[in-house]
Amino acid sequence: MSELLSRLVIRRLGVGERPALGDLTAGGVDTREQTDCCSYVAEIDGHCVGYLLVQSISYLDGKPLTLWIDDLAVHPDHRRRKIATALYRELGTWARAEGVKAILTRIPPDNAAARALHQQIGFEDHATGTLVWRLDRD
Amino acid sequence: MAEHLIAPVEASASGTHRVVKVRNIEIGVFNVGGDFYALPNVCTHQFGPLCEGTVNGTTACDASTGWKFAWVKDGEIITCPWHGLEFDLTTGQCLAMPKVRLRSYPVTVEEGMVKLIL
Repeated sequence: MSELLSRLVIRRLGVGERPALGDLTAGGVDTREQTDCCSYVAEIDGHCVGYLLVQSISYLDGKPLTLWIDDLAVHPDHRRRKIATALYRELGTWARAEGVKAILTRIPPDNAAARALHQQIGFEDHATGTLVWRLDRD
Repeated sequence: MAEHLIAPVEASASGTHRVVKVRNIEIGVFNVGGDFYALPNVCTHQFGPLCEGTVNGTTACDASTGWKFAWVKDGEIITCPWHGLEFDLTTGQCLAMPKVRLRSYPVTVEEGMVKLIL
């Protein structure tokens, strides 16, 4: 597993780039063109094994203030290998440098695995039913 | 980018708004005098449900009002129900903090349907 992870590359999706996601999710592929340049893709040997689709929902002086996670997926063959954690690590590093205050998302209550992952990252339940990762409290 | 059908135009009268879920995010879609605008349902302050607030105007006292208090932007301001922070629906601009603004999503009307671009 560590050998495989040594070949893992996390990179930012470019503006207008459509990630070559294949059939990562049962619900279909999100082919939304990236407009914010804050989404990430995980690749092993050039093949997409995961993605983290993100959008800015507010700005301070033109820079992202709050981010929203549109979607997170890891290929079934590559789950439980910390790929989602690696994607979030890259996003968190970039977001802190940009001065982002918080990252939010919404996960169905019955998706225990996804909720546990996000709580491990640092997301907390919010009164509105969203999950909030407060970067300004780190 | 993709178009998302929101509602028929006739069901979206001027001065009304609705909160819709597109992918996994809630977005408020507003009819302001016949023009449509869309903002995330997340206040910048404490992430409250901004678009569940009331649409109103605001007071101003500056050169444009002759330095007298006046009611302006009637029907163009959304007030967060949690702590009262106000945002301009047409721009996403926060009134109290001029450097802060919300994302504003494009909205089109085609063949009688209101469509959100996301």
